[in-house]
Amino acid sequence: MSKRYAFLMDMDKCIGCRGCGMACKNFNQLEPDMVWRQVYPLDERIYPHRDRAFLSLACNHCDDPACLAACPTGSYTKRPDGIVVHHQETCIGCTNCIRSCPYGAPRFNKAEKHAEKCSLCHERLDAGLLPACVQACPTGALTLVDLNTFHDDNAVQYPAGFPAMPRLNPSTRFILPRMPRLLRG
Amino acid sequence: MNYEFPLVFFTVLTQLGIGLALVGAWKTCFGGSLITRRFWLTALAATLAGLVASLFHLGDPLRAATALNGLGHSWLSREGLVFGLFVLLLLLAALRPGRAAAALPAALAGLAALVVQGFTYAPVSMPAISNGFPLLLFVLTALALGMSFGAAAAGPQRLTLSLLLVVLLIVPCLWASGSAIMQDTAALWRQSAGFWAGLVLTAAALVLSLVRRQGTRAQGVLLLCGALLVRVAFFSATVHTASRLGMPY
Repeated sequence: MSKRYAFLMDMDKCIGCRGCGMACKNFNQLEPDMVWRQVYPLDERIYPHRDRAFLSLACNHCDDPACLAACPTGSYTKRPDGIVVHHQETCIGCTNCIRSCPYGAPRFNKAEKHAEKCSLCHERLDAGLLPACVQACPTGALTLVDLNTFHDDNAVQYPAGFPAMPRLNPSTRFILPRMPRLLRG
Repeated sequence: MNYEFPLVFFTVLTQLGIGLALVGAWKTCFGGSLITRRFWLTALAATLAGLVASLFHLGDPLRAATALNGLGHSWLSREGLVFGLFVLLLLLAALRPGRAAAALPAALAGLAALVVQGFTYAPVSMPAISNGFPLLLFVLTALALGMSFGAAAAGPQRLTLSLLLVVLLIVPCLWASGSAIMQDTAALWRQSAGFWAGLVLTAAALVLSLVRRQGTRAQGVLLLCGALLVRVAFFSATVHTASRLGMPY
């Protein structure tokens, strides 16, 4: 059975250091104003504590990707292992994928005038390496899993602050943050 | 804020062309009046102007033709194909003015183009417009513009303009009772000066239609400016789900 690669984001372990985003930017040699992975602090209405919790998000490599369906030039393909790959060389910069993706994964490269997004570092995966963001995460909050074998009762697909899109079936899974522990002296 | 001016001009001008084609076909088939070559050429010019405007939206306009590669899955590709067909049929109607056999296919292609546009601009990432609203707005805009510039009778014009105004006033109110994204969209539309100015101009066109027996050019210009302003709100003030990541939905 083929794999279905996915990010597992443990919000309980994430400290919001943004190392994942920097590693992604560094490995993929992104333009200065471009990010493929972004860390969003959870709003206080969702996590009402002095400690903060974070969502680290890149492309969710959906089962039925909106970007792929919207692209008029066929610049998106889906690999058998579930990775949605964008081919920049055929992109004409119509931004229809950017308008269509509910998670804001494709971004517009103003210098090159085309869209681009997280490729789940498929070149690294093919070489037996982990994605740059997973490799760089200092707390182990970001890991790579195979959804066909992954099972964790605590993992959720749609945490608060992440739009639920069952039709697209995004692959990323999340472990929710616990309540902060009080230290008494 | 991204105003998407090329898309604003593309959608409104092509809808003017489609509206004129619909009025032209109606008059040719049922109205008994002679539709001149100039009428069809005006529809063709408006559509071509819209298509040229759409090229400015692309990062690489020279490869625009590759946008037809995704016909199997992309509404944008289908939009390109249907508009290509529409332009050809408008040209044919202009070559054979007054012939129902030429006018009717052009009008049908125009209707198909409206339907495809309605799907293209209803992305799942924008819950406020990921429904039938774009199609309804586009159809009413096309009909209103076509009737105003095509000197149609006042009765249907008043009805279309009234419906357009009612839809534009009611839909943001419906959004205000929806999810957080819908509420944000309703608030942004209500704060948009362009949206209100567009409504005022559309209402002015309706008032003009009440005192005239058929559509006039002044009425058409008012409506065209109104449609452009409302379309700016459509593209710039509709909230994308990605803008609220980390916040309640």
